[in-house]
Amino acid sequence: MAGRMITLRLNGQERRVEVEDNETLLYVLRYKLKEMSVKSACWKGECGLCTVLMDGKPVKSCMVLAVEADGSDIVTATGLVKDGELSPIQKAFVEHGALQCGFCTPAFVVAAHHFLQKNPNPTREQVKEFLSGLICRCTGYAQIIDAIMDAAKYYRGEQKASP
Amino acid sequence: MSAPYFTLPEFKYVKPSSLEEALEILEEHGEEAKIMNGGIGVVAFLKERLMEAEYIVDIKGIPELKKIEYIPGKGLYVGATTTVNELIEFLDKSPEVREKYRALYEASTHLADAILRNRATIVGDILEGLPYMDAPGPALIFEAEMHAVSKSGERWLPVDGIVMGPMMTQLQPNEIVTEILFKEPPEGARSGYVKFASRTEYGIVNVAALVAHPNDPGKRVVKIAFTGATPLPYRAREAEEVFKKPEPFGKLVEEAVRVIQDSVEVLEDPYASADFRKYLMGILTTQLLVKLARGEW
Repeated sequence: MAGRMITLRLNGQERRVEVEDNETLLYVLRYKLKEMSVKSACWKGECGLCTVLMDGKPVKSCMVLAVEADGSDIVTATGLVKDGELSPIQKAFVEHGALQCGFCTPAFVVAAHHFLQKNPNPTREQVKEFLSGLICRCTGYAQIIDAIMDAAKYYRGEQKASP
Repeated sequence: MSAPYFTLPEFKYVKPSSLEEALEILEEHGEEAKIMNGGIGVVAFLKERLMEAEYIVDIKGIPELKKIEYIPGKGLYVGATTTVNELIEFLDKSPEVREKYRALYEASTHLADAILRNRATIVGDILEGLPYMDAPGPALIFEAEMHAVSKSGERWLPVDGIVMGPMMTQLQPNEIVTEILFKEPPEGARSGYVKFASRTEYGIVNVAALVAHPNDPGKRVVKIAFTGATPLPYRAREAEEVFKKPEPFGKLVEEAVRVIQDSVEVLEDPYASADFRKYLMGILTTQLLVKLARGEW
């Protein structure tokens, strides 16, 4: 089957890549564009660890066809880093020890970034509800929720990112 | 590369930009073409080799399928490509409409998860045809209908009976569903939705119910529907009939629950036994109906 060229913006950079119609966005991001922060685990839309922002909204990239992403804007956890510095949500994960093995962290970070942009004043319940599509097998979620609640102050504009 | 869900079978992806173009493709390729929208169902079925397709027709490029409109007296129209999160946002901004369609709102906020809801659609959730879906129950109690269009015409189909099993519907291969209409609820009605989920996001018993004028037998309306419990979405019409008797609401709830438990064919699967499902149907239905009647839902 003949492939086709698609163009997408990956973390602000325009990328052209040849894809097959039956390839998922996860496969193309991770194995063709070598964006290794996008993790591959369940491949069936359950664990959420392949979550990326597609045109500003979180999607599970294992359930998206790569051809659908033609012309779209994709942001991963790598894209949250500016000039080599972690973003406030990433720093909050570090400060709160919201990770053990780190495998799920990029997905949580990028999803939480979207969530806090939309809802900078969440309750713990709202955070939990939002996280229901993401699975972490190490931490038990408490520190993850702490980190997100804490990082919210940056999204409310109460605190500038620390130098 | 050989992990079970890693690959999809080969197909040709097409993304028509108009309804006419899409209908032309379906007319030409018939059953070899499958419609995809959010892909939650289609991509999963393809991965599991439960579906084959020569052509995957992505309908997200058809502008008129993106729509949410409430017309007083007629109902709530939701386009085929409108995502569940778009519906939730609309209802959050229109509290009066949200209260009219509370069961639909609650089902939407419990459908899959917050991330999948950026791609999942109400129409897709209903047509996927698995027993555990969330949208069919509210669709049944609001007497919803889907608008199906083909090159040879158009028709409105009741959601009740539209699904015959996983990926099996009453729709013809050349038809596209453009929108779903949730009809205007009866005057004075309250509705609600309860999802009892196991460790997965799948509800093992989901109850949608609507109650209007519970203490006035002449005007009383009760509607009850289930998913998760039964192989197909189930509208409990016999139990609804019970509420036409001129007796107190509370007494009739007990009788209606018995009618449900005695008459339905209940699923038995690794998530729950048939007996446990029947037990849950009784408890959840009783609680929901009583709360709706008291105005506590």
